[in-house]
Amino acid sequence: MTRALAPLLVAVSQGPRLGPGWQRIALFVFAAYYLGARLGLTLTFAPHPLSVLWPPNAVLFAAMLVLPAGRWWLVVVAALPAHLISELQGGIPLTMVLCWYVSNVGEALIGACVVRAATAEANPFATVRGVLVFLGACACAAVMSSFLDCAFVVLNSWGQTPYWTMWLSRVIANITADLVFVPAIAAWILARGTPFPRRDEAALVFGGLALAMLIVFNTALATDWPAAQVCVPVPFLLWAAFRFGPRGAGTAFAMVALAIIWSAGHGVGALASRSPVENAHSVQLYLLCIGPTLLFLAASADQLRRGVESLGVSEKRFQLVLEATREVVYERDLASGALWWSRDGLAHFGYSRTGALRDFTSLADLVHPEDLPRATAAREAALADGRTLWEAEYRVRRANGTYAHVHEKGFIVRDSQGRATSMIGALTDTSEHQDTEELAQRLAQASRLTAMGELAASIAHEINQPISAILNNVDAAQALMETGRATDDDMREILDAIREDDLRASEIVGHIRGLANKRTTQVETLDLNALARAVIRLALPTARRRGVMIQSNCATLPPVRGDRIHLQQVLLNLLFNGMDAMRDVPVEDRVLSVAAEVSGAGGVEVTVRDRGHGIPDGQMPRIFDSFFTTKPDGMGLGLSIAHTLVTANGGRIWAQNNPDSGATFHFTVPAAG
Amino acid sequence: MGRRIVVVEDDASLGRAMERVLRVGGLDPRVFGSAELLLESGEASSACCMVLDVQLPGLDGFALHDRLRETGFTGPIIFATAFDDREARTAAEQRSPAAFMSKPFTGLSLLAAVREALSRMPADPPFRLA
Repeated sequence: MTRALAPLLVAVSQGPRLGPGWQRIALFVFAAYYLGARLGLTLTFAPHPLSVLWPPNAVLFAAMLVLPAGRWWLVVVAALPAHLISELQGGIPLTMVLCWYVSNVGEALIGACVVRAATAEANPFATVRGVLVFLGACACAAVMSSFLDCAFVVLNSWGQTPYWTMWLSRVIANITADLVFVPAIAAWILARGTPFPRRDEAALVFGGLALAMLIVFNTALATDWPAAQVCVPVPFLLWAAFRFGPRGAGTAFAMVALAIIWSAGHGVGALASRSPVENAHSVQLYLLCIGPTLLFLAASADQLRRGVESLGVSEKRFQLVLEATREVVYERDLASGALWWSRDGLAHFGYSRTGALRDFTSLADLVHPEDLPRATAAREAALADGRTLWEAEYRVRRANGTYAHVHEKGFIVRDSQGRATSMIGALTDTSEHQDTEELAQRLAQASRLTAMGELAASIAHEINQPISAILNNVDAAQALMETGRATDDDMREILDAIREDDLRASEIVGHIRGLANKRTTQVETLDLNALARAVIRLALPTARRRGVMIQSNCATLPPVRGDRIHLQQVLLNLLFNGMDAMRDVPVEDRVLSVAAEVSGAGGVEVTVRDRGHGIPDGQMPRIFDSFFTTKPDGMGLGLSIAHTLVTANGGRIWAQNNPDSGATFHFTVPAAG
Repeated sequence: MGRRIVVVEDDASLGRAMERVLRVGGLDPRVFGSAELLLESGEASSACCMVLDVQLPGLDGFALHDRLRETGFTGPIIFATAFDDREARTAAEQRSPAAFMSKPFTGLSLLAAVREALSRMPADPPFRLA
């Protein structure tokens, strides 16, 4: 309560303020108060000066309900002239008039304070709890202000009615007035900005209500009808409340109230068959029964409507999330075994929704038989251990018979005793990712073969040199022997040369085998200098053919860890890339520099620097993408493969343009140990 | 001493083997590691026949051939290459070499090619006087 009152106290403590549109508010309060007073007089049960409801107090209450507490003083001030004008016309002493003013304002203040203190709802008529608070506030305000009111009457010696009789009639009249007018006024003001829905239906319901009231309450004809005819407006009232919320309920109820009071006061219609006092009580009882019912109905219908709307928004958001994450979600009720799939869930795997729902009672029906143990193990373990989360990776059969790789993240819903009641799984299709990895592997292989094609000519040259040398030496030896002049030294020299060339040839063959073999990664400790020398030797013939000079500058390097073939491939690709880049520059500028040094991070950094055309602006981020190339006959694989292999070996690869000309490629290899 | 044969071959081991087989064959071989080294030595004029590797660092075998012809060398020139492709053959044929040897070749075939080329030559060094 104290906490609820806090905003009220803050609002009041900020002091009175005019705020925007104060003239409009003041004018409205003045006019409504004055009209309310005139209406109250009109609705008296002639010939007795008995008012069954007194609207001005309700006008003040409604105004305070819709205004911040800091502006309530505006209501109090604006109502005073209206009060004086309307009351002084009746020849009532000024003291009495002012006393009534105090009790009227008191009632509105009490009611508004109770509502503000008990609920933070901006519109109390929109929720069932809000309506309950409002009814409580009406009762509070009417009971308390009536003590004051009656005391003033007694003190001013105005009228002879006994105190408690007067008090009771005041309480009932004030509650009735609040019930009739506050919702009708406040609901409209609080809902401003929201268009009134379904105008045709509204015309029908309010037209029907008006017709029903006209017949039942306002014709002499109805006086002789059975008493139950008072029920005739009820369907229209319920209709308005259910379909049009607090505004519909408030308006319809106020219409009925005014019609019934006026007619009963004038002795016509269903509730005008007895004495004026009895008629007045009938009217009040009727209104007090119907009013709260309508307000509750309107509030709960409104809440229901908002609930459905927010459910729709939430459902839509949920669907969007599913679509955005491309996840397939299922839920299994562990008690009933029922399986629910997200809307496009099974369609993702090519199944028609209806067919699949009929055919698959379990996710296991879709899992690759080999993966079934793997798919269920994590979930079963989570279920058994009382955990709520699990993850698994397995293959799911698509409608076309192929398999999709999925990653499943699951959640087990448990009741308060910890028993699993249902489980929810989200499948992420990782097929594309897996395919990409497979493709990358195939490409790495293909690239090695492409490099092989490029290298085939080089290798032929390289290997033909020692073979030619051997063949020449053999013939020289044979010829020497035939002449009979052959010395042992001559023969030894020739045999040594032959052995050397044989070893050279077999070394080259070893390189070719290493490059061509399909193989798995073999991490070993490597001497990067030796590796670089071997690769440069392989590339050298091609370099000569293309007029490229390869300079190498290798410092003393620590041993590194990596896959020999991978790193050879990386360096080869970078060498060929550098040579390609210098295709159009003058021969004397075709210099490719290879250097290796200890990198800051402890490993070794290899750089390959060319003097070619460099990397065009804006293409730097893409140069390591597959199939991206700037060469007329390039495939766009060399650098991408280099990137893949360097990354796979725990290194990093990057490029930058040189300040003078060409580009430099760097890659790192982690140190051994 | 036999007739002077100039060999331009950048592979040192092969160069030595060719030198060996030509000497055993009764000829006087001189081996150079590059076209530039031959041109600088000034020994081109003393050659009766030349064996040029096509793939050389710097000036290649065809360019060296053209340079030698420009400077008046009229003797037979034999090309040797490991890149026996159509491009290389066409380039060689345009220069009407005495022989086109595809690596790997035997010492006997080298000797035979050189002797065949020399047999069609007068005994004097084939340098035309400018």
